[in-house]
Amino acid sequence: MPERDALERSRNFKEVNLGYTLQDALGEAERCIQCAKPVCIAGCPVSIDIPRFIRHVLVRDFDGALEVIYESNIFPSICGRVCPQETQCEAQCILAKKMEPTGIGRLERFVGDNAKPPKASPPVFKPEEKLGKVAICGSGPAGLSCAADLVRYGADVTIYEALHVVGGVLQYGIPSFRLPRDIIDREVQRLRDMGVRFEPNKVIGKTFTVPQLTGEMGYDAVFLGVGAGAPAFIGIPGENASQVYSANEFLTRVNLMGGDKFPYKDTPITIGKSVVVVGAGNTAMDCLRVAKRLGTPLVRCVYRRSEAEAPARIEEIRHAKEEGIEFFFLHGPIEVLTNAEGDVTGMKVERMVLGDPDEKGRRKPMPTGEFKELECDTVISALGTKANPIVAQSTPGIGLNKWGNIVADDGKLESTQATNLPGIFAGGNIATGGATVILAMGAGRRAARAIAAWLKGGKKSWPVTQQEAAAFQPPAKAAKLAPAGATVPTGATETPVHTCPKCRRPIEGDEQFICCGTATLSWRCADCGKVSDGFAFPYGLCPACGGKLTALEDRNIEGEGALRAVRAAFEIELGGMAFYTKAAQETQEPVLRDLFTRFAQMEAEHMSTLSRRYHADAPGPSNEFKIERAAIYAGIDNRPDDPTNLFRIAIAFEQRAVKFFTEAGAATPAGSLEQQLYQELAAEEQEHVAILTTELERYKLGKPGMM
Amino acid sequence: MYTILRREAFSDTTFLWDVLAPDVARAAQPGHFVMVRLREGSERIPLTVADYDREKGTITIVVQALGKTTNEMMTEYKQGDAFLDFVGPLGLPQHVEKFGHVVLVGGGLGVAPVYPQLRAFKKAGNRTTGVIGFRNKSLVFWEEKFRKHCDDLVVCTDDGSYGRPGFVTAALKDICEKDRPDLVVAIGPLPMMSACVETTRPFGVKTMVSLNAIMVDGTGMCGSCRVTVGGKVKFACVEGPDFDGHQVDFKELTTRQRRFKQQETAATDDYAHVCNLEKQLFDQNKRN
Repeated sequence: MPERDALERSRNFKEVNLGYTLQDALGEAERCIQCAKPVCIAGCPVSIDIPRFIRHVLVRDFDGALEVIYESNIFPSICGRVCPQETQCEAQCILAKKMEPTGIGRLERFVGDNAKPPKASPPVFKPEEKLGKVAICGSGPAGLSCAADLVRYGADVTIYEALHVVGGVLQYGIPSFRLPRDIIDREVQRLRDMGVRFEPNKVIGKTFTVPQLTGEMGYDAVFLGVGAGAPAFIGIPGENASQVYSANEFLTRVNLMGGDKFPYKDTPITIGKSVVVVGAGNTAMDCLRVAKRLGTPLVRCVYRRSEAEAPARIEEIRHAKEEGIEFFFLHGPIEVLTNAEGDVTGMKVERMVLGDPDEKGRRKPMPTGEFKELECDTVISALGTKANPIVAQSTPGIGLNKWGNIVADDGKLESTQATNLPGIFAGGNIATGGATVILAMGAGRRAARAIAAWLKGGKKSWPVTQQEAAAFQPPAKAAKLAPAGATVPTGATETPVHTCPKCRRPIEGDEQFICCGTATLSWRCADCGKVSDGFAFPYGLCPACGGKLTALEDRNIEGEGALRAVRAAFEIELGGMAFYTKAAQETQEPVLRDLFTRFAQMEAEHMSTLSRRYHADAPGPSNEFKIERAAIYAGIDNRPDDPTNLFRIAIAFEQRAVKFFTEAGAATPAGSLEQQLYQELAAEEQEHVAILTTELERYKLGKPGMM
Repeated sequence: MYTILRREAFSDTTFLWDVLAPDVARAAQPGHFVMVRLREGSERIPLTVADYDREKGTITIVVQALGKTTNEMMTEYKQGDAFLDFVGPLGLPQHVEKFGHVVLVGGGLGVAPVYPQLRAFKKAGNRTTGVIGFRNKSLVFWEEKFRKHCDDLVVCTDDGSYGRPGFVTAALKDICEKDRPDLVVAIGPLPMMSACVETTRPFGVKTMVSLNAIMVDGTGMCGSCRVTVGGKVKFACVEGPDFDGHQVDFKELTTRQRRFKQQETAATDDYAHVCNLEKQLFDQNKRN
């Protein structure tokens, strides 16, 4: 995935990962081999039907792809960014055994960012279908996903949030260069449109207690997704010095309160010239990279274990390194050094070596007695969080474990998230301790299902059982929400076990999966005639029309008729290229200039594909072209004042090419090489029409181009 | 949005707000605090609840204009205006029961948060002595309110312009010697609370102090307000703000309260700064 330049990005808060372009996304979608028994779904905590959404991407049906994702996860733009896919879905991907797995997370992000979501409106239910009132405490990932499902199941949902903004850790914890704030706002707005009520500035346990919610306030059920907000400290001397921050405080001051914009915003942050961050999880990486962006020249990470044990995502550590952050692995913090005024002057660290694995299998760091002093002005402790006591203090009788986390039926796909108190459910970090956004979302979804089942069953027995939750039938409108499993498209042939899932040729020997892993293949559709290069297509179906695909051998063009077809193609492509180039030169609008330059490139690429495929040389381009004349050729009015004029002409132009090739194909002998060629070219031009139409739609809506 | 139903000026720099927040008022108890955020871009600041009226649904806060945000509260917000965020009640309430003789000491602005505690201790059947101190006569407020719930009331002024001359600690020492209290509650600026604690220490009288530490969220999330109490790290926002003063590490706390001194001063100066050129143009009627 393209990334912003490390030097540039380390000075601002713009998003680092730039996301796939249309071409990247289509290419990546083609890499998915569409296993008959997909294993990636099992790796996803919310069970997104991954192969099915990728299939929609493949045929450029991004809205359809979004619908598939929405069935399981209403926040693709968020999860596509912050999920650790490399240990979840992508770790399961069959391709990973041979090569880079399919970029599932990046495709999910592409769909979330680019597809047009269906208009959100409150679902309408008959009185007997309604589930009752549910209060959700905490508007973080667990609460939001729980609300999203419950409102579609027919519950009346209110989310209580302690802070002044909605989103929980997404707002105060994750920096904007990893998750831009407008994305959170957009997704939250969707929930609002669906009828979820938000009550910020309400601390459950303080403003209202849980017994109050279920008592005088009349809620039928409560979901506690309050997170594990209380920061843990190292427990070393000097830790309460003025410039020692918890990761939570440091990130909250910047992410939530805009401390980086002080004094234009009122919340200050001090950082100095040198920062040491203790810990090597994702939060530590966030602290390091935020510190760098605040202009600190020297930012260092101190971690007791080695890089291999660091809990952060590999990508995050790589990004941090690229941005110039120094790592002191195998160094344990011993003391924060302070001067007479109590200001931080440095940190004493001890070099460590790795000893035997502990009960969790992680190798334990052992002290060596070798000490070192790192000079610094600020220390940030990023060592994870403990359970916040507020809810537990104010909810008599709620079951807690020895760390103060709320005990719930949790941890499995069929868990109910029920606590020991009737009607009270809990999930996310308050139940599990520090974990990831997507795990919290999974818990929220399970809770929604169990709550719905319990309410539907008339609140009879407690706790609600896993069988009851599994048996819950969502109302018809939300039927699509049923836990997603793999679905095989109609028309697909059963894949025999002994054929390669990519090229579908019989496999010899003991090769299990892919025989043509890195080979480039050409495919031809029996129905529309489109030829594509590069990758296998799902279930042998054409991405454009759904026809059956067959692998093509390398071909040479022979015979007068076939040569004439390729020459005609070159002429038309050249005309198109000249038109697009001219249009790009003449238009006043930078957006259009950019788009039409890309269209010209598209034509050039098609020509080079043709010349490679058929071993024919493409003629050089021409600059002699007039827009007015193009309009005449295309047979439509030239309306220079209409901003969509160029699009109209271009589309008409491409449509004429389709017509020309179709007619030429019909006039040639059936089954001949030239007829195949004409069909292939017509299909190609048809695709150009589709691209241009999409781009015109997006242009009219003021959206950036997809190309 | 939360509306300021009533504003009352106590002096040039101190004022009172009655804020309409029925949910907060319903749950508020003596010792609680609230977080206030005025507008987009403002800080979240903690303020101790000075009073509450469950029927009217109001919370009373008393503010002294010290930094940028409090200055803004004083100059930009009138009675009837509304501001963005008001969260509470936060913290643990003061533990109130019948101890016997309870002395409630308020220093300067600290007089306000002492008031609901005084009322509660009186209601619980205690004999109450109030000691309230101000810099001078013009800053005195709520004397009558206190008198209603105090068996004895001592008003001190630093410059002797009203009541008993001198600091509250002198009055507190007298009381400890002549009429040993069973509990002292002291609220005010850090040096005043620290001095009160040192005053009662030789007498072995338990002294509760209310720590208005620096906070961001006020709900136990950031750890900015951590204080060492009895050798253990406590979060003032969820485990306080009231602590046994004899256990509090005031030296560390004083240092931590200065964490953003430089930035705070800069912001306040910046806020107070009037552009001379603009002012000149304004005076010449060239600006409107």
